[in-house]
Amino acid sequence: MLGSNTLRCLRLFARSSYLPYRQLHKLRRLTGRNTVYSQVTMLTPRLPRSIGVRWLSDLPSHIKITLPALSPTMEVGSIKGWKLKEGDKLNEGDVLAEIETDKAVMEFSCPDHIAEGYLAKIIAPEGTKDIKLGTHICIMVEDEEDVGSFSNYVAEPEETPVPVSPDLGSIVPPTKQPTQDKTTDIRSIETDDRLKVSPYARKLAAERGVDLRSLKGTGPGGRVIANDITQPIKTPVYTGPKTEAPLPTYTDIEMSGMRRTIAKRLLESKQNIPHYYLQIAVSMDTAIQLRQDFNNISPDLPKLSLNDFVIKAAATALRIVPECNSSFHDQYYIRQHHNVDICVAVATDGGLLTPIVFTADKKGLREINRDVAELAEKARLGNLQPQEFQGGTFTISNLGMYGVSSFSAIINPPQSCILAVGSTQEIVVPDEEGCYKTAKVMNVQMSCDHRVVDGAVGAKWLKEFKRFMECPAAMLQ
Amino acid sequence: MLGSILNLPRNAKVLRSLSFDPFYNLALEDWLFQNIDFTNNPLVLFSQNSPSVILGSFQNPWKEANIKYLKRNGIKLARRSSGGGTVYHDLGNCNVSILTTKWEYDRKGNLEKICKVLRDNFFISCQVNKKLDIVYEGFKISGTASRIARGKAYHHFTILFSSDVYALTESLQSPLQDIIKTNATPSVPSPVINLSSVNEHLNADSFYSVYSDAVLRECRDACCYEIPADMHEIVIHSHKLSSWDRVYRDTPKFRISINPNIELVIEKGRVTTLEGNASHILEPLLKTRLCYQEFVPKYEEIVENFSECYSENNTLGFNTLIQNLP
Repeated sequence: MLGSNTLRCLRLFARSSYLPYRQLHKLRRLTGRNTVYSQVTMLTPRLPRSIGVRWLSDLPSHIKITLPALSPTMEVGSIKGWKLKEGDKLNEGDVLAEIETDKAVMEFSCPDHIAEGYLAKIIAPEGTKDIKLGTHICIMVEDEEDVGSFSNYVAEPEETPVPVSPDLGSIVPPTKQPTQDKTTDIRSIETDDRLKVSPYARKLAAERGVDLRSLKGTGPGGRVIANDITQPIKTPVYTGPKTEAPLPTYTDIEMSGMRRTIAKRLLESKQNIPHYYLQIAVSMDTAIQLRQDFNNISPDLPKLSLNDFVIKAAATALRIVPECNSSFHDQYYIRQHHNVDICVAVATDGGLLTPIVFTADKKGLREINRDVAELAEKARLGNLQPQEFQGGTFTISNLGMYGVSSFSAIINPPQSCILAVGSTQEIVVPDEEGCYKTAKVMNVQMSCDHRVVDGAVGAKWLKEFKRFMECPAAMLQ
Repeated sequence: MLGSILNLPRNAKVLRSLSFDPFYNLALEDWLFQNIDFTNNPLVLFSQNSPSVILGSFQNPWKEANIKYLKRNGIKLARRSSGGGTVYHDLGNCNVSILTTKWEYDRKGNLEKICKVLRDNFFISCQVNKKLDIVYEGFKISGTASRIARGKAYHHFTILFSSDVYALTESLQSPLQDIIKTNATPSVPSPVINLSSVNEHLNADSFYSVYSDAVLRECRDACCYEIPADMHEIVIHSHKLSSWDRVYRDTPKFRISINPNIELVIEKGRVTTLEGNASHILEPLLKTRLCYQEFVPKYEEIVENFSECYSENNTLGFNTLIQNLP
């Protein structure tokens, strides 16, 4: 014999899945409880997810109502007013609450598959803001006498939407947007492309709490259709030595936050900045000799590298030609920086980083060397702090150690220049007596932003840079 | 509709209200929304209001509008049934309301068609932004709100032609905005521009004539109607919309911090709770409506009885509130 509770649940089921009463009476006549359950569990999958019927708890059978998508583009809603109180009768089509979303006021009425009932408990009170789709907002019961059992009902924590209390004490100011945002947690880059989803698929997704973005669309033009939600594409299971599917000819690697940021910023730079390129060949004999001498004088200190000379020469040249130490700001002014902060491009496993050597013009070679080594190490370990790579007024990128003889680099906005340093090559040049000698020559190419730096200005800077590289003693002045 | 510049099916109808009373126009919109079936019969309602401030359905009038300025300048204050923020209307502004079934509800499409009309006829290029505002060179020229109920929907929006920008700024700056804490929908202020400063031939009348011509030309069975300003049922409904109950009592519950020690909790336009150190002194204020006639006499009573706590300089911070009571 079935208990009254079970009968009530069955009746609810019958009504919602439109079982004729004949079948229901058939179930009633069954004696074994197990048989009943197995029949009923067969029925369960057909119910839409926004109904949850509790069997074995101590509360009477009830229906939890969740926030549905009231319009195709709705993602969150705020409850502005409940039109019914707890204990009120709800007829089909009655308005339960007024919901505001996206400047539209919408009426949320009794879902169609619930014929009638009573509002037992309001979980999200009036004034609750920004409730996500699928959050439980109220409970309905079939019989009036069950309303009382929900008076002390407390929803589970993860289901309860948090009402924003009017006591908004301190408002946290929005964090300042970093200028060089190469942090790895930038995943929420705004995209303007709308999801192509059919209306019925959206409705199903909202009811089941499925994230539309995670589905692969099989409809026309990659559209997500209802089938994709009810029967999502599953990974194929190996079933034995049958005809094997051909191996794919590619692998899709998901872009990390850093890669996406690099992609976005450099594309923006190449598209928006009018780049032009100046090249000069620098004779490196003096610099190489000087470097050797310094290293021999202090063998216990870390070895100086040619890159340190390049950084120092570039910084000193920037003091003489400050136009190249400027940034383009809007249409109305160019910011000329007083400090020379040089970004040094470092290649890491995750991508390209440009940590900054601050006030490089005031530092000695040893100090620059130490800074660069420290920053490169931190970059490789992923320990760079934001202030160590955001900012900077000039960038140097050196691919000489890879044997690249010369290349052109892309400017890092909002800076206006970048120096691309190639490898030092030994070439044959004519000498003073009409014979030939060998010379070590390094090719550098500077990319400049023509909005800020004119050709002559850039050329002047390169000339100074070459002077300081070929005669490092001039930097002592 | 191939080749159509308007987002309306062939049998659309254009209505123009001859009234400049904001309450009448809101009542007209509500009446049309409740009584007309929009299946195969979408409507476009075009109206203009005399200087008035229109609140969104779930907003707080004390927080959104400068009630003292409105009273002094005879600017009306109304509450509409759709959501969103507070706007200032005057005769240099027009309101367009597109009433359809909920399946034909397409806000972005409606606004893009307006942009097209402006572009083709008046050579003004605007864009529709994410908040569904129409923006010209970064300045807002139109705001949107909508309502969906019982299978019907309306999307209404404004267009600024030659509005009084000074009055707009003054009316929407409430001195009480920092001391009121509420869950009500906040307004998002934006810089605005008048379109007549971009193209001097553009004003509400020229826009209406271009728009109604376009409808007549492109939609079959389309016609334009003018609605008189004295339809009896609508006048009755407009009295309800202009009542204290609709404009002030329908505000969601909120708190006013007069000073760090005194907080008033206002529900349904009445003071229901007093919080803070001085709540025993302020007891007479309980159950009064937050309006001049009821609040001020009780307040003056308190000042008389407790004159030792009060002096001319120490009004406990009620001055700003009292100046801004309706």
